[in-house]
Amino acid sequence: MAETYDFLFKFLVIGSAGTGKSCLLHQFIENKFKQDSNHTIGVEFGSRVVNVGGKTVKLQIWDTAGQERFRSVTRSYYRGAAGALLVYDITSRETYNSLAAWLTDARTLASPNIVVILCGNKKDLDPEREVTFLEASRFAQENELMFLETSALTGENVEEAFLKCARTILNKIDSGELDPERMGSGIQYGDASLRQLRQESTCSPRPASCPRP
Amino acid sequence: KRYVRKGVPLEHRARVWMVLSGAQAQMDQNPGYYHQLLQGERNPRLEDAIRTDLNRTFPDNVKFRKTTDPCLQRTLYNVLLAYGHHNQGVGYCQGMNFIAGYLILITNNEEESFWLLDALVGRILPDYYSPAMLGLKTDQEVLGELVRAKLPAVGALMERLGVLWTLLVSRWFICLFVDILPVETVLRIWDCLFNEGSKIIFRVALTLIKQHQELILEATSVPDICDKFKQITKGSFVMECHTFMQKIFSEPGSLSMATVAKLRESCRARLLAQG
Repeated sequence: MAETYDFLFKFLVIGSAGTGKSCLLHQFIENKFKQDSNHTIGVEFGSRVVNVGGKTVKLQIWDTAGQERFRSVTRSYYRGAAGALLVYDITSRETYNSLAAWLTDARTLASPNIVVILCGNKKDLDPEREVTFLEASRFAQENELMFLETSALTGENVEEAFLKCARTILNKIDSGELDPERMGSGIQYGDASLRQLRQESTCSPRPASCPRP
Repeated sequence: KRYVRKGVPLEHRARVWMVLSGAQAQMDQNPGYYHQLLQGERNPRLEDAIRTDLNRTFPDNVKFRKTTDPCLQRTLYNVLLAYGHHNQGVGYCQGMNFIAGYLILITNNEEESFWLLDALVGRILPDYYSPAMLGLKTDQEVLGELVRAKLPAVGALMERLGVLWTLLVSRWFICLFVDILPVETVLRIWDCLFNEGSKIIFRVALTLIKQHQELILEATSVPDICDKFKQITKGSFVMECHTFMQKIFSEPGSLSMATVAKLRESCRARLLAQG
């Protein structure tokens, strides 16, 4: 039988080359650090079902190539993403400097309402740090992003980053700020909630009045 | 053509590629040029971009490990750096590292690898690696047109699911099947690529899709079809390179350079119009 879940969220992992995007995804899905891996060409994806606030959510995560010129290729997948991990490398000022451009891409191409969490990756390499926690958190605040420092190597805060992003989206659905019914919201109802809806569905076709699953 | 299609023996491969591609002629006409390039004015952005990928190029191959001596990472770095200086419009694009890596393994010679890379990136392939990647996008559209014409059911499925070809085949084009198909198969494909040009890539792609048409047609979602496109590059069909190479010349049917050129022209115009 196919897995059941209440919601499906489309996520993106974006940021400059070599910041550890694929390793974050690998750590989240496999619970392991990917030691020897090729860099990503184009787009790869992975998925995992998580439990957030009593709801099961399937995260469908699109991992993109970081080299500047691939942006013109990868941008086509941004559409309809509900959440994004925006990744820089705390040991590379250059990757931090390009965050604004990545963010603009995400907000214009995916959705202005996309929920973004900023991830300062390679936290384990603290002695080589070029970007302080404070300045990154300030950047996050100014741009209304959530923020965590992560380590794909040790796994620190990796799970948290994905879950935090998912939780925020769920909250926004609950508060009505995000509407899963809207095209391109990056959110779909899963089988479980559909079934629930059908049982409740005296109110049709679908509705504002219908209790949210 | 017939002999090359049957596969060039490994010990002659470097020599044959050099001659067929014109790399040898270029190298003979420009003595010392490669070494000049390495001493050229430094470009920190280029150097950084290349360095970021050195540990991420064939990490499973002992010869490319940082800890091996002599380590091919240095050779790879030099070839890519020289190329970036030589062709400043392209600089360094991810994917070129895998191609250069194979060239180094086959030729065992830094300078020859450079000239072969130049033959591929500069002449044989149409503008895949420049910052706008227009040649790459064009060829992916061309593949889409060919599939629509030759394998309409797959074309229709792609349309129904709203999948862009670039999602499925970017790596095929950019890496020229390195790390996608088995090594021996890739080398056989490259034999023909150096001899017959870039339309070979379409032959390989069409053959893979046609051979697994039924499997592909089972896909019901975008992630699903991505998975299927990964599956079809594995297994005995692609391992048996002799049969596979015969198939790429029989299965897709006729594919003239004129057809490809015409499609390239119209797809390119369409892309440019879209902006």
